[in-house]
Amino acid sequence: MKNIAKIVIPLAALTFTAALPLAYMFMGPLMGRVEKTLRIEVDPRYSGGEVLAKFLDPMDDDRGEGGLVYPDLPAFQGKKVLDIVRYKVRRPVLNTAGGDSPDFWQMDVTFAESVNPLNAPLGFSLPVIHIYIDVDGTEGGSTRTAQSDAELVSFDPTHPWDYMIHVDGFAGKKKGYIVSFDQAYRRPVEVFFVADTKTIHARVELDDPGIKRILDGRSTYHYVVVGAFDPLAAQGFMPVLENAGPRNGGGARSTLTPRVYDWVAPEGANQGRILSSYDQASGSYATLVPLEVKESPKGRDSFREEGEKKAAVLSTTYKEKLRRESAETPPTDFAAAANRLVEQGVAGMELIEAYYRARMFEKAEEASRRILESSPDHAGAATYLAMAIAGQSGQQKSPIKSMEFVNRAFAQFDKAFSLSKTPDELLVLYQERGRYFAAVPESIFRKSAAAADDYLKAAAILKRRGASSDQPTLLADCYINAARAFAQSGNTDEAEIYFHKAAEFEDLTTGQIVALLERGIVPAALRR
Amino acid sequence: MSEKIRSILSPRSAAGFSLPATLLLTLGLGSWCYMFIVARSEGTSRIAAWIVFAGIMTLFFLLLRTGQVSKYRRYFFVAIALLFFPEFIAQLLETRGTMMLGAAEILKTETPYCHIVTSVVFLPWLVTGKIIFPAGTGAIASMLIIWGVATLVIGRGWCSWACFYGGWDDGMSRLARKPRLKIGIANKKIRYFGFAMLAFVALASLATLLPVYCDWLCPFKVVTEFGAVDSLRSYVSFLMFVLLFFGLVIVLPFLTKKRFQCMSFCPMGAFQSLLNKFNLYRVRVDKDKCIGCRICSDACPTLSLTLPETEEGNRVPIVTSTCTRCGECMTACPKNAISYGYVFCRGKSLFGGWREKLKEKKGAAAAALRGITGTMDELLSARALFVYSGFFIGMVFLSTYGTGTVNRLIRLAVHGSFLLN
Amino acid sequence: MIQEGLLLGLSTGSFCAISCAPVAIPFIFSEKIDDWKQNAGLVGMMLLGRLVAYIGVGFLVGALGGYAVRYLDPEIQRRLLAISNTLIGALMVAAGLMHNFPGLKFCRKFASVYRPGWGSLLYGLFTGLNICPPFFMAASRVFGTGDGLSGMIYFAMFFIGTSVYFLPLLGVHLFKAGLQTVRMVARLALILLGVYFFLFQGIFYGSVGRFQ
Repeated sequence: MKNIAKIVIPLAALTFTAALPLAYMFMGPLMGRVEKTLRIEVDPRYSGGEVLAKFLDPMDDDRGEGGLVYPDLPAFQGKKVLDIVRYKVRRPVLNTAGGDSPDFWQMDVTFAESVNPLNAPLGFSLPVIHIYIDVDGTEGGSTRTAQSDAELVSFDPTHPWDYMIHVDGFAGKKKGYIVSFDQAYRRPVEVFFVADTKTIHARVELDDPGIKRILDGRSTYHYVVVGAFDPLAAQGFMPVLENAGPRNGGGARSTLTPRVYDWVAPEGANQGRILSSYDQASGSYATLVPLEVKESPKGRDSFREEGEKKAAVLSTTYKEKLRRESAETPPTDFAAAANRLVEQGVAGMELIEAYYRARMFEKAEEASRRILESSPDHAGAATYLAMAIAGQSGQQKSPIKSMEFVNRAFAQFDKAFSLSKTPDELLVLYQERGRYFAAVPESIFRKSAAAADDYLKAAAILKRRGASSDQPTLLADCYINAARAFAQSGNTDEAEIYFHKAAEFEDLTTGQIVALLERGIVPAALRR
Repeated sequence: MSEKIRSILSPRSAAGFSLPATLLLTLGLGSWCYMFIVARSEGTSRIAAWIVFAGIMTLFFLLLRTGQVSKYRRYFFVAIALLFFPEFIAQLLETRGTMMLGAAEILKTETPYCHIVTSVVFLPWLVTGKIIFPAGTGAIASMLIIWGVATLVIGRGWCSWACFYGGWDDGMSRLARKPRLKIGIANKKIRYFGFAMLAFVALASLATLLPVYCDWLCPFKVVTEFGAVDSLRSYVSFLMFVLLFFGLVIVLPFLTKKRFQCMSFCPMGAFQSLLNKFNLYRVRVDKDKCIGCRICSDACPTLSLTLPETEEGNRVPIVTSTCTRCGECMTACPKNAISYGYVFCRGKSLFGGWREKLKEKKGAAAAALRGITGTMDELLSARALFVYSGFFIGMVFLSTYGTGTVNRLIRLAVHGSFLLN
Repeated sequence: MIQEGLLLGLSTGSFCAISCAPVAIPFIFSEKIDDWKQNAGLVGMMLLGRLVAYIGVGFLVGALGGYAVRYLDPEIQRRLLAISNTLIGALMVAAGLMHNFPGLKFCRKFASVYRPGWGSLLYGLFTGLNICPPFFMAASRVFGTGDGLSGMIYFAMFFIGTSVYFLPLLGVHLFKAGLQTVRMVARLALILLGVYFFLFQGIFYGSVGRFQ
């Protein structure tokens, strides 16, 4: 035994010592496994409580009844600052140590974008948010807004609101406020704004007996609306008229058009239809329907669970379809194509592209450098040079060599950016760099978030470029890749938003459909 | 050439490794160091990377050649601590503008997760399935991997080779020539107080589902980050952090020449002691060489060498589970009776028998074989693999924070600014 | 009523154990336990103390009926919790000092009146008043009955259900290896936990409001 131990133990020690660097190098995949195996989950009290319900709102629906445009102010231009993409309601938290209040109830509103051009103390300048909550059904409450000429909406009579939360970026002492329907109760609401996630978190203190009724686990009903903030307007909701101006939004079809740019609609409700349901003749406002937030065992909304079930069923069918499509399409022999071009004496970008597609990265690099020697400002060649160096990093046997190529590729991408001026050049560059950033090990380079950013910039260029036949497919690609990159970086919230954004497109390829179904998301085209 | 340099470069120095073994081990560590430190850096930070690389390799080389494990380990360990906190604080100031942790950072669950938190949250996690600390799950997983792998390989050696806090009290405990306050192995309660701290923080955190140690008792908040000081509660907790830091980390180690914080207060140290048996290395006292002088137990900075209580006439110290494998006892022992060893293995080395047989043989081949087996024995020895592993694990922290600090110091010298913005 | 109380205790009793563990564990391990009888005696007295507390609360909540709904308010709960924590903390500090510094005058006086059995009973009584979430749920079931007796029965059944989670404490006497060291550590931990409960979870928590 001793003799065996004398051999086995030192060899085991040697193995452990040799394996040490590998454990640290492959931290990324290991992290994911460790998280899953140990089921690492942070106590949700720290982030404001366990998520009770989550509602995703479509992106690009910040047009109110359908035609609203932002006010004619530079601060609003080109930004989707009034576009809510997600609303979360959390379980009440009791007996916490940090923050203002030991017992609170938190709601989170996430926007597509957020800026602070006016340096508002809370970190966001442009939206004003109202959350109306019904806690007791028809026992009490109001169907009119807190101030009658504010948002120009009314509420479902079966769920009159009992409390309203007001949040704007200029709230005094960094707080919003909550007020009861009869104005008898008014308290400050602690507001946090997280710029990275573009999310406003509002914490309602649970010190009112009326609000404390939610502690018995009942369902509550929420109406979430956002308007453009104007401190001089009623409740801060900037008016909307026919034509946009510096003090008003535009695109209103009527004097009763709600001053609401976005409303979180429940499943099955159409924002445009509901917000245009006012009656000019009788003077009645559009009537909103609420989101139901109910106590559920898992704390998740049932809509998502149903979606995941359906996605699982469809996933098999579409994976088979993808497999068939791949089998039917003969693979292109890019190497032969490249050799043919060489024989024909073709040089230039066509040859570089052929080499690149054939994964002949060294030759692609050589060809790119030849062009850059004669034309140092050639953006395309600079881009392909970066791509060729990036491709070679994956072909190195030595990890040290591989890392050197990675660093060279990063530097060359930066150079290519300095040379690329046109939208088309930038589009290619963002996509290629995004692809590369997402491909390098996250644990070492931590580039996934940057990859997502690149893909979203590519998407922005595509949108600005205008409609084309392949635009929806390319856009969906960008959103799916951005979402994957966000997921890789650990930002599952952003990943979810962009997967759902891609899911709204009608003309998705089979591959894109499969990518979404694998995430438990049923594309809009398949929901009908 | 001075005597010292000659002794380092000679084929074999007294207590150290042979030159071939040293070069091979240095090359091995050097390759990884290059990859983790130099290859990942770019631009001006490459200069800092090379400086850190050179520092690590020099210390490692000298440790191997001179055999003075404790001395060079200590330089390395103190460097880890001193180079960690400036970069950490600078990053906070650049991203957050302050060292203070606000409610927004807690809400984002972006609080940095250090290894000590594991000892605080493991019991609540076992019972409730949730981590009661506002860090990202990725950060938690990565620290668990770093610490877990290290603990599997070097056990409580983490506390003397890798922990980026331990260098503080290790360094302070060596500043004074003599202890002003003598505490020795007889003070059992001082040694076991760390376990009481572990029991306290684990149970109190379980009862309240709050990280009690992090909220009130962590001395190292002063050199990392702490909660926003904006209420009576936070003033009191900040005051406690300051008092504990200066008391346990600065003053007491200086006065007692013992690693007071690590020995008697850190719950993670006690936690590691419980896990110390689950790895392949041990610190062994050779009974045949030991003369019972007990210099080792006085030298031990964590009072981990106890004296047997029951056997008459047997004066050989016992190495307890609180041993941090720092090597101080090995340096102190006048008879070289203490060394690193493997579990279950005592006596001759792997190739020792072969070399004995080869001793009789003459010729170049036999001599070469003797040399090769000798080197192999050295490379596979517990001492070699342990110190290599210890340096590697410590290097992982220096690769990010150490390089960052040196880069900032260069920036300070050249541009007059420590921060990037 | 009986079945519901028992099932509630069984299903949620782990939370009770979580709240009581910081008291029960160091206390049990700090005492010198030679055999199973001593072990069972200490655990039994602790459970008896908890039972007395539970039945008392059950009677009050049941009898007061609607008035007791205020008891369910988080703010009131916190204040009651602060009182029980102060008492627990004081007892733990006194016992811890007595074990660790037997020569001190206070410790000699305390040692002359302290008996492990009575200490155990008091620990059980004070922790029994500790309002953990399952306790709160039991109270919310009972206050509507308007009847003290039903309340007592419900809480007695609830107590039996939760006591299952304390059964592992009966195995302390089986630890032989290193028990002396464990006892020393437990006695030191008693002081630390006692100070924490007395000051941070007790006095500060109850007076300043939220000092935990």
